[in-house]
This record gives sequence, structure tokens and C-alpha cells, in this order.
Amino acid sequence: MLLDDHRKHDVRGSGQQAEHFGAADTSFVLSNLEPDQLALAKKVPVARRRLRGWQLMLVWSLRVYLVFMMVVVFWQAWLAVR
Amino acid sequence: MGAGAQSGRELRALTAVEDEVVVTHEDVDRAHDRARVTAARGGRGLRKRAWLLWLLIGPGILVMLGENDGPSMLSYAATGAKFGVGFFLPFVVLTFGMALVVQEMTVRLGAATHRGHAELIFERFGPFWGWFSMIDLGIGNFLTLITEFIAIRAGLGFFGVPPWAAVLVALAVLFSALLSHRYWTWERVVLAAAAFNLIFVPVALMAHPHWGAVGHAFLTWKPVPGFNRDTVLIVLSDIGATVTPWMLFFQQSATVDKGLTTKDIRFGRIDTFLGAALAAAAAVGAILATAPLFGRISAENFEAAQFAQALVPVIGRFGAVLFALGMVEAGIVASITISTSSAYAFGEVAQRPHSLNLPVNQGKSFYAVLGLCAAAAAGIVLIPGLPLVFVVLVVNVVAVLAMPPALVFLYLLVNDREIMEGVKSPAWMNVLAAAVVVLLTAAGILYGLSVVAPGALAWIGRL
Repeated sequence: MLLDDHRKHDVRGSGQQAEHFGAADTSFVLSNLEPDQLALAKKVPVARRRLRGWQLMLVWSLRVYLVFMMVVVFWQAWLAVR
Repeated sequence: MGAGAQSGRELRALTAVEDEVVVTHEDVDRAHDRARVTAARGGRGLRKRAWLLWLLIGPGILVMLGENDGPSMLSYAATGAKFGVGFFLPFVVLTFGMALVVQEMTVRLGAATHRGHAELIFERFGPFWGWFSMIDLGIGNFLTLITEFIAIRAGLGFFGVPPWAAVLVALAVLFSALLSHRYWTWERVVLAAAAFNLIFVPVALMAHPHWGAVGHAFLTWKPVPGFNRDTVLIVLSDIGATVTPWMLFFQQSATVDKGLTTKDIRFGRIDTFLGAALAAAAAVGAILATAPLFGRISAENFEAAQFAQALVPVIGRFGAVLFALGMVEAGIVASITISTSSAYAFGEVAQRPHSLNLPVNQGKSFYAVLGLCAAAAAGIVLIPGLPLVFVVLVVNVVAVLAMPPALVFLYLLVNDREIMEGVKSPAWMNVLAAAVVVLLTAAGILYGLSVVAPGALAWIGRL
């Protein structure tokens, strides 16, 4: 039984309670999952990238559009309810 | 170099790696699922391919049928009752085409990076943009969850079930689906529930639609409704019934939780296509079911039970019962998928464990967020005197308005060579994605014009 023979402990001080499985379980997991599919591999952050000029302009334009339109929606819905 | 020496070195290397690797319960469960996929992939023949497809489908069908939720089905029902058979039949199918384009990108992104959508936005573009996305998602998800419980309450209200009991039934189903603490089991249970969304197809057949008119509508997109505020609102509502931000976050996280890799992308596409086709069939079914009400009633702000009641003379009591049950199913399945989407996103951003493979003691925050979101939305529906119609009115519109900013981040991520492992979007896919962003933004601007400057809308209509 693969889930036998394991013990629990904290991992890298993250507060995440993980389980340390036996060698057979670990081998089974490693042979069936890609390395970055492991839950703890996700603790390594993806590298940051900077948005370029046109990208920043686009995301800011759409942010302003969203805020403005949300005001319109809530105003209209409020009038409809009243 | 001898084969024996090489094997020995590899074995020692593997042992060293295994000594350092910490494997979690979530990993072991996911590895079991992947082992079955690997075994099925080795087989030949139609039966083996069908088995592989069965193992790999799930997130796409769930997200599409999940989006056929309470407010969406109400929107389709209102479309049928207000406009009959015509322009909106092919239009709704087109919106599912848009959803397909968008959701396929989340499959590739999830399979290539093994990271959720919220996590990627936070880490790749920083917390500033990450929090904006999370606020959009949080507000949209919570408002939508409230409308799911409104639909459940109204649908079960048709059978005389009191609101508190209706809400408890929905919460019981939601928590039952989580009992196994296995993604695979949860997915199959929710898929089984989601299949009932197709109940709208037999309901449509009971309404005896005029198939000549249906064929004419699909071929010509006619009759075209008048260009006015009502039409713009229904257009926006029907788009919001099909493409919403929670779908991006849910399908990518579910793809990761299921353990799909780049080898599975083709099946992920089939899964998403099947989902879109099934959901489109149910949506068209809802429109055709209520089309006989066109010109007979005013369906302004109808709730599920009122549609079912109005349908009794047209499709009989049994048909109306099926319609009401369909609304309940739509609300329950969506409440499950949307609350799960919120829990995934919270876990990804807070860097807390986030998987349906987690036992409760290891995924306390994940299950707490999931349960609390659903319970809070359910509780709000029971507070007497709250203007809930306000939420129903805005929810689909808010979804459409929040989509363009969300889609731009999806577009940037899916074209990011550094993280996409050779599966970045081809040019034609980028053109389609850009067209979806332009269409959604244009629809939003038209809606804004209809509110702020109705004269301008009338002028555009005369062009």
C-alpha cells in the first residue's frame, strides 16, 4: 500500500503540513509526475517580467474602462431597483 | 562505459534525488491519476483511445456546463421570451465559440506551467496587477454565487420548497462532492451533476419549435431585433452568460490539479470543445423552450419559478417541472465550480495548499474559503428585504466588463516564450483572442452609451 509508512512534518517553515512518504512512494511519484508538478516545486516563484510600454498602456486603459463602466452599471442597477 | 556501471550511477542519482524530495499526499494522489493516463496512452485501438479521453476530460466540460449557471439560463430564457427564434440563436452559439478560443488558452497555460492563473499573474506581473485581478475575480465570483443560490431558491420554490431548505440542499450537495478529498472523484461527481444541464434539450422539444424557423435563424441570423437598450442589455447578458473571468481561473487551476501536461493538450482541447458543444445545446434548448412565450408575456426580471409557471400552458406541467429542475441543477453545479475557483485563487495567491486532492487537515484554508464563500452567498439569499434583483441585474454585465482586462493578462501569459515550453499561441489564435477582446470591449461601450447617452445609441442604430 503506497500510502503506508509515512510521517508528517512542516515543510521549509511554510506552515504547510506535508507528508514524507517512503522511498517506494517517492519513486512512484517521481516516475509519474513532471518535476514541476510536485506541490513543493510551486514554492519556487516564476521569474518576474516587466510590462512593456504598449502593454502597460493597454492594461491601464482597460483598468480605467472597467472602473468607469462599473460605476455606470451600479448606478443604473440602483436606479432600476429604486 | 558499461551498461551495468551506468545503471548503478543512475540508481544512486535517483536515490539521492529521492532523499531530497519531499512528496505530499497531493502528489501521490495526482501520480495515481497520471499512472492511469500513462497506461492508457500506451494502448492502441478505438477503445483505448476512448478510455484515454475519458480519463483526460473534465475541466473543459465542467467549466462550460458550470457557466450555464442560474443567471445564464435565466438570460437565455429571457432571450427566447423577449425575442423568439431569430438572431440570438446563432449569436449564442457564437459566444460559445468565443469561450472556446479563450478557454483553450487556459488549458495550454496550465499544462505548460503547472501553475494556476492567479499565481502566474502575481508572480509574472507582480502583486500590483495580481491584486487588481483578484479583486475583479473576488467581486465577480461572490456576486455570481449569490445569483446561483437565488436560482436554486427560485427553482425549488416552484415545488413549494421553503428558501432555507432549498439553500441547505444546495450546500449539502456542494459539501458531499468534497467528501472524497480526491480531485478525480470530485470531478466525476460534478460531471454527473452537470450532465443534467442537458435537461433543457428535451424541454425545448416539448415546446415543439418550428424547425424551419430555427434553420432559417441559424443560416441568416434573422429576424434581427431592433437596435435599442433592451437588445444591447440582452446581448451583454448573453455574452456574460458564456465568457466570464472565473472560467479562466477555474479551468487553468483544474487543469493543474488534474495533472495535465503538454502531451495532453490535444485532449484538453477536445474536452473544452465537447463542453462548449454541450453547453451551447443546453443554451439553445432554453431559448427554444421559452420562445413560445414571445409576444405573450413580459418577461422583465422573471425568476426561474416564474418562467416555469408561464411555461405550464405551453409545455405542460411535466415540462415546466423539468425546466425548474434544470434551473436548480444550473445553480448547484455553478455554485460548486465558482466557489472552487475562488478557493484555488486564494490558495495560489496566499501560497497556501490548494488542491482537491488534499485531506481536510492539510488543506484547511482551501476548504475553508470554498465553504465560507458558498455559505455566505447562501446566507445572503435568506436575508429578507435585500434587493437581490440588483445582483441578478448586474452579474452578467459585470462579467462582460471584467473580461477584457482578464483576457489581456491571459494573452500576455500564453504568448510568453519563457514559460510556455513551445506551446505559445500561434498567430491565428492571437488574432481570434484579440477579436474577442475587441468585441467584448465594444459590447461594454455600447452598454455604457445606452445608459449615459441613449441618444447616441439611437443614432448608431439608424446607421
